[in-house]
Amino acid sequence: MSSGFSLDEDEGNYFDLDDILAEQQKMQISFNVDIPGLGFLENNPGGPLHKNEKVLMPYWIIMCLTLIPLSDDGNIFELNYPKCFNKQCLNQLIADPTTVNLYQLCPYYYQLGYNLLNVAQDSFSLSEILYNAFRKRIPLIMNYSQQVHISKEKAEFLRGLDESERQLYKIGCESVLSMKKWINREYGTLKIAKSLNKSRLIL
Amino acid sequence: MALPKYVQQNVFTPAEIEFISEYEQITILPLQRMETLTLLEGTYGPFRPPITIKVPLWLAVTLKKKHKCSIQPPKWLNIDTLKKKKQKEESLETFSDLPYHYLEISTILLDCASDDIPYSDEIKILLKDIQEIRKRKTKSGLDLINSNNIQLDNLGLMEINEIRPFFSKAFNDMRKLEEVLPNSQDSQTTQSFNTSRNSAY
Repeated sequence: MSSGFSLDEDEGNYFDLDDILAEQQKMQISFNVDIPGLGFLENNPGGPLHKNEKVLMPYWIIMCLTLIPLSDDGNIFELNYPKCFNKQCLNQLIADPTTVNLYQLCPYYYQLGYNLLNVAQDSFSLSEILYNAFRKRIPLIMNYSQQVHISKEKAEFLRGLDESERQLYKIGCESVLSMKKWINREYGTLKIAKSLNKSRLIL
Repeated sequence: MALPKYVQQNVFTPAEIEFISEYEQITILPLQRMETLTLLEGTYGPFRPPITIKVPLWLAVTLKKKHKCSIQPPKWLNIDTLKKKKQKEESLETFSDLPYHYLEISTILLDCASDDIPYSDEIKILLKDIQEIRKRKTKSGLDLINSNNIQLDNLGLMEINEIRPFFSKAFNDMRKLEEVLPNSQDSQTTQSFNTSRNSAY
């Protein structure tokens, strides 16, 4: 998706499918109060959702929940960091950003991290880690997008790209391809479509 | 979403860049006596054989294909200058000052008027080398980027266009991540938003 059309910076791009998918990523939260009628979330249909019970909620609900205040100066819920942002994963990201398989952790890793930081406190300087990791991974993506042959490391690295990095890789490949086409003078020459050629043979 | 890919990404195709560069002026030596050419886009001529004349590249190419002129290659398109440029390119970190449309013009000229350019084969190889060196430089520049600025002096239009979609997306994504950095402005506003929400109740 192109990123040129944004209605509101904080809300993301309303029409962007990737943004929508990223907002569906679930995070673990526990409520600070009993919630009536939501018992089905803990296999207790009809009853209330008990206090401190851990449930998974998509980000777009959590975002709305932050707007509901509780009387004694706190949020209505506690947010736990998702698994893909636990200490171990972040340490891996600090140690060597280029070898971590982000796609396996979460297909929208950066977006999820960005969303998370909008609703939670930045406890392990997550923002810095993400920013540095992205910076370190970009040159490699650029490099690989300009290489034609596939090596083992390249395949491994590409499998670990998160969704936004995949788009970057694709864009890089496309511009290299169009340059190659131009240098070989394949633009502006009219060719018969393959299907037309076939039908002519039959006739 | 139904638009072609290159329109979505806000880039030109290489063919469009070539079209733009065809408006560059170039000197030709007419081989035939011709009266003034009155064309939609402008008036050119009259052409009197021993006298050279400046015309746009597209007209030069058309006349060349009809064997009505020979093209005088631009000053920078000769083997000595390009050898010097290549040396400069290898020794210095910065890009050497080739014309903005050097890649397009040289490709067009070497394509249709290689008989007018002395040592055209060597020039082809030299240009290829220069292009590769410059490409390597842009790539190594990517290691040091931050989301604020990037120094790309003397880069040709075609080269910029090649890296534009990649760089602009990379920058946008990076800026987004930078927004949530602790000392950036945006996180301050969200924090003040949080505190104001809490203090209101």
